[in-house]
Amino acid sequence: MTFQVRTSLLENVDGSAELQIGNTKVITSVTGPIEPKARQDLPNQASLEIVIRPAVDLASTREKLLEDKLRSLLQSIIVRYKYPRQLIQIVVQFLVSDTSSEGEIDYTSNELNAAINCCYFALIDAGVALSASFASLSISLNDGKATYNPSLVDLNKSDSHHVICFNIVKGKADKILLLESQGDIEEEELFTMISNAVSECEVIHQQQRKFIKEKVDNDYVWKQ
Amino acid sequence: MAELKQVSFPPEILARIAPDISLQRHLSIGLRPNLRNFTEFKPIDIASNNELTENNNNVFGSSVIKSGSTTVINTITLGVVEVNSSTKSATTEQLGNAGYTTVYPVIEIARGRSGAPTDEEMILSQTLHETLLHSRLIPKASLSINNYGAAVYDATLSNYSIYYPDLNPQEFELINFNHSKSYTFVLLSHIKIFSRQKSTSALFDLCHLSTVHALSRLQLPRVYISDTTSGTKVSVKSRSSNTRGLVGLSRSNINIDTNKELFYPLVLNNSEDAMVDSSGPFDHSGVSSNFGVVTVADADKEGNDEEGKRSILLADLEGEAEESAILSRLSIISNKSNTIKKISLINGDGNSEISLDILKQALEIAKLRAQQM
Repeated sequence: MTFQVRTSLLENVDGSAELQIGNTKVITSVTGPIEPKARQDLPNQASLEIVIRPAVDLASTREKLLEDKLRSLLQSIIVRYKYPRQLIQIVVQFLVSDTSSEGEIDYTSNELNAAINCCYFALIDAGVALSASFASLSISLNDGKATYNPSLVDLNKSDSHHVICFNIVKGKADKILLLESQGDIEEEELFTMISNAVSECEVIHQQQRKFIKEKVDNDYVWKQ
Repeated sequence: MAELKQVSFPPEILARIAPDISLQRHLSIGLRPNLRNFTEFKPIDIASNNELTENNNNVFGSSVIKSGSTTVINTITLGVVEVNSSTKSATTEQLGNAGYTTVYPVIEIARGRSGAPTDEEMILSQTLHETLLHSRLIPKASLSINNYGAAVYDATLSNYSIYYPDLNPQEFELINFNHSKSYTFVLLSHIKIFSRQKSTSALFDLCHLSTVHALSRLQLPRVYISDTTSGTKVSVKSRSSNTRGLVGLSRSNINIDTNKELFYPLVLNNSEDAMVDSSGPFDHSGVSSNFGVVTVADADKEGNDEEGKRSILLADLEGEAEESAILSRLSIISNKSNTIKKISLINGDGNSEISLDILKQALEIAKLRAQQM
């Protein structure tokens, strides 16, 4: 799997990242910890505000569902008790995504996958405390054969499609943080897919590490 | 020095102010706050009558489901849209997954005030919409309108009669009928939830069940085209040509024939057997089950685990304590042929992990439940 990523490209936020995987391109900003509105204020931990904007058109219920999935993932991975009574705002703006045209149906799995991976870089760029690294993968299965980062054409022909996100501790995939599977899935197929996804996500994490190492090297002000 | 007194609360107040502690205390003595067993689902009653459909001309499929005091009322109405003729000719096989369509649900949770839909309602509707689409339940072909009829004014009887090309071929040939547009139905589902007691994922189970149930009983009407809505036709000179035409001929109206004898059932995917009786209408679509995982520290019982902690799988989350304190959740749709249609797993709680073993256990329960439903 290959992705292109750039960080710190937005000036007025605390952290930002732009990521391209396959046909999906997304830009994410992280602002925080900042002062929350009174109704968002949680006494013992940070509250999260997540906004997702689609590449075309206005945000609809489709984006609301994506926001909900992303929030439930991030609220467990961000060390929220470190920022009590504070707010972390995350805005995910899709720049390019596979849009369904006439005769095709809509899939959100690639967008969810890109949003999760992009949030990882943006959160690191913003210096928000994370309890572990995480990497996600979009998979489509056709007759038991897996395609990683499927295109819309692949998805349209697939039996089932999945988004799987692992939490990564010391370079090893530790546990499943999120799994969204839809279609016709056999149980055996599912567990083979999960075990294959483990090594695949570890490869993604190596790329993440390499990028972050370069980033830290470049960002470090007091060069020798 | 002032002595600090220990504060104690009665159970119902503790459940309100510290739901996580209340849940832990219940579970450590082997009880759930709602007094169900750990993997016991709340029983669901499905209304067998079809009153809503019979009494309302615009409702074509309906279902009423009760689980405890939570009531879900689902009515399906229809819309008619024009389809692009280029995509019409392809068969379901050629289209792949695009050969299937879904319902457009609007979910309303009654809570005593009106206003814009809440996030929960939007998320539930969208999940239902996407799930039915990806579970490949409703083929597009089942909803396309073939053989639409024409309403013809009969001067001798001074009323309209409707003729269909397949039912009245002789009469239909005599009608000068050139209408080449093709149409399809869209399914609009209105779901109202009363007395919400269950968690969001448990509500999804009920909404999914009620929609599948309503779809399995859905009767599609015939559609005819009438030239004008009023009974009178005025002959006027057309601006573009010299021939005298009838007003409203170009803007013909699409009407739904409310004659119930001509209704036909919606054909769902792989449901040939399922349509026969009410005992098995969920064959292809599956039954949705939800679970939560929570870790309990057994204070008095020792040796259950290394640290005296164990993960407990709870089925069908209900009530405030379970909803707010359980963040590791799992939702599975499985059907009678043991195929999994949907898994939605989120490990929201760092301490209570959904391991692969727990996932397997939940899958077994979900399959068993789908078999018995």
